[in-house]
Amino acid sequence: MDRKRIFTFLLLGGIILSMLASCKQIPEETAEPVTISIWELGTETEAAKAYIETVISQFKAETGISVTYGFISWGDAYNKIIAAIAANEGADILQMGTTWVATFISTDAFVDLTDDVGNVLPDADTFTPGAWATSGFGGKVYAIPWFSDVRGMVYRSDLWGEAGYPNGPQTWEDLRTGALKIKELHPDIESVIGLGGQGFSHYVGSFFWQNCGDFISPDGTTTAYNDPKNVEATQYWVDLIVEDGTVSKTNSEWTYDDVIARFWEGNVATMFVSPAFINVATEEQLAALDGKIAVTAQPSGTNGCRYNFVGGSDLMLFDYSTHKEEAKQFMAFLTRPEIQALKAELENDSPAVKAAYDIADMKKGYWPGFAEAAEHGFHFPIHPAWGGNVESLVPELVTDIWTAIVSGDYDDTTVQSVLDEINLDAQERLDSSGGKPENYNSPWPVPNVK
Amino acid sequence: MNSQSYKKHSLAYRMIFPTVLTMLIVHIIPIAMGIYISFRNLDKYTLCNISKTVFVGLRNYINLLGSLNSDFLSSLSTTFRFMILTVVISYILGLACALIGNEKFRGQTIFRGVMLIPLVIPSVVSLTCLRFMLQQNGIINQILLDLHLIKEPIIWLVGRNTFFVILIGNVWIKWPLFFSVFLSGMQAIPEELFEAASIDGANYFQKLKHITLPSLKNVTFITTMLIAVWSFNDFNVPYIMLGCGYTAVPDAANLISLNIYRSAFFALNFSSAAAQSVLMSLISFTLILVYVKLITKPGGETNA
Repeated sequence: MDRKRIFTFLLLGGIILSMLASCKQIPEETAEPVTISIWELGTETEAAKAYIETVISQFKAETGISVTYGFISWGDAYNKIIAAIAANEGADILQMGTTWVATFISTDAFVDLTDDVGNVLPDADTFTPGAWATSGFGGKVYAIPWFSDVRGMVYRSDLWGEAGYPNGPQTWEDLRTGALKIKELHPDIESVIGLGGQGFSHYVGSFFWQNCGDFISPDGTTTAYNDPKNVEATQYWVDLIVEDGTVSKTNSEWTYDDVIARFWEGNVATMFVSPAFINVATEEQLAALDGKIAVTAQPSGTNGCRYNFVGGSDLMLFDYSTHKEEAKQFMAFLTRPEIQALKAELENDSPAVKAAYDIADMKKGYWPGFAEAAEHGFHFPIHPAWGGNVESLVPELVTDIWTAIVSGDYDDTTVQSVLDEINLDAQERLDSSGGKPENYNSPWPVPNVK
Repeated sequence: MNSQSYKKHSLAYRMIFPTVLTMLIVHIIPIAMGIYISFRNLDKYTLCNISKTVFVGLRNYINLLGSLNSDFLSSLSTTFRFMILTVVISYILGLACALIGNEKFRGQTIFRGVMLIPLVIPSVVSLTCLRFMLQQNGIINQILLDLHLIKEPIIWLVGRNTFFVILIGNVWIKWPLFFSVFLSGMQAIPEELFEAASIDGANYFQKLKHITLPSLKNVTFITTMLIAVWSFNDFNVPYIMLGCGYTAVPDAANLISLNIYRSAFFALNFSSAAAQSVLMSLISFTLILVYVKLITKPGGETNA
């Protein structure tokens, strides 16, 4: 065979062999497993970890979608969310405080979920009214309620019974009269009513709404801190401090957690807190106060309005997420009644879903009282200027009033002048935030006492 | 810089390059960014995309300085008082304890060690403990009540007293620096000077005035400037002692640093916060220049 033929055979052979080598078996098409992430806000307690891990494993078993989680403390959360928005990097799903929802909607960093409601996500009727109201504004939905932080009135039923109110105070008049009676019968109690002066002080809003007032006008253009109804409401709780002494001056240094700690110590007889108040009690404290604690909705004011603060957290979906559909599936999963009831059982967080309250365990303990409080829930304005901005004037209002009281500068004009000054600041902030949002309509509380 | 010079010093240039690069990334670029933001309108609406911000000129600065009642000017006034009082009290305490520590007595070593405790304990720990001690039912009120110096507990952490609370906290963590620097300085003063002064009939205070203090002038200058600048910029003390996060700090204790923090992370007005930071830096820089000018004689010697 001459060289030319040998070369031809080799060349052809090489080509045939290479073709055969490239004909490998095409493997079955396998989808890459999807992993989504969620940021939870708060402390990574054993209970919180148990809940999220249980839920994640159930979700994965059902859908094959993996979920990773991380906890961010509330103190760091606002800054971390801002950083995530600026960097376009972070978790897929974010737990969001309800009072922050409107502000962060304005950043355009979150997905509009309006079209998903009633499809992959539950519809509005699934949720308690107070919780659903925090999902967005102007007819748009950007957040799905996850759990409510309903602040009921938790009181010492034994002490209030002695004072003549076995079902607890139902009105402001009851609260004032009964607290004075308890103070007279039990002078050793440090503060009959706990209203912490440090931290956020959500009770400012509760008292406004109990007097049928609110922070921002229904059309969202004007702030109303110094509306006469709100001045009257503020004067009411200030009088508990300066006139009655049923709120002790030591409250000026107390945070929300301090009030709860002192309740369990027996130094506070009444407080306005969420179901999670149970979490900090020791076994001895639980035993000592067994049968002596009751929960109901906060009392009504002078105009027939009976409301209390409902906050909590929603779930929002970051726009930079590359697994939006899977994330929505997880958000829907978290709103199932049995999953909501599990969170209530493990972490004492009030469900945002109505059907969760029908589950057997939710009819025990203090849950019926908090369910009643949830029926009377009202919320901070879902307004873009609110979260972190106009909202941060609430603790300033409380600080200014306490400063006047402890410095000896308090007089009959203090409440009005503080609220006037705060309102000026609030209006400036509202105006500089773009003023009235499109389609905003948030009516003030209406009388609901039967 | 010619190539010969570069070759001669190339090792040095290469060795300082990482530091220069780090300073560029950690200091220079953020400072430049801050100045840039201060002339624009970076807030929650534009946070997602900084290119959406527009140039607003001096608007942010005018808003801060335009009114005598502005929060910025009020916090500036509070910060100046805070800085001056911290320096004065820390100087007096540091000098007094250094003079005692410089004397030979039994337990001198233990005394010196105890004086340095605030310097070695992390400030977060010190300030948190101090906060607990200053609560209405805290140990400080208890001691004052037991000594019959007060009839009812003082409310330290709310109201006008908060200025004194942050002053106490700041002095607590800063005065040991004066103590350690003065003590070291005193150790370096030749003993012969004091012996000669004794022979001449000088008393303790004359020796202090004519020998000790002049010998310490250089270290006094540096330490005073450091403590003044650190106090002017301080954020940790009011933040830790008067509550974090949502708790509003009373006007009496509202330092500029807190104002900046709240503007940025509560009002989400980053441009205003940046403008305040620029003004704060300019003021610090001016103060340092004025101080150096005042204490420097022609020829470069210090008057401190």
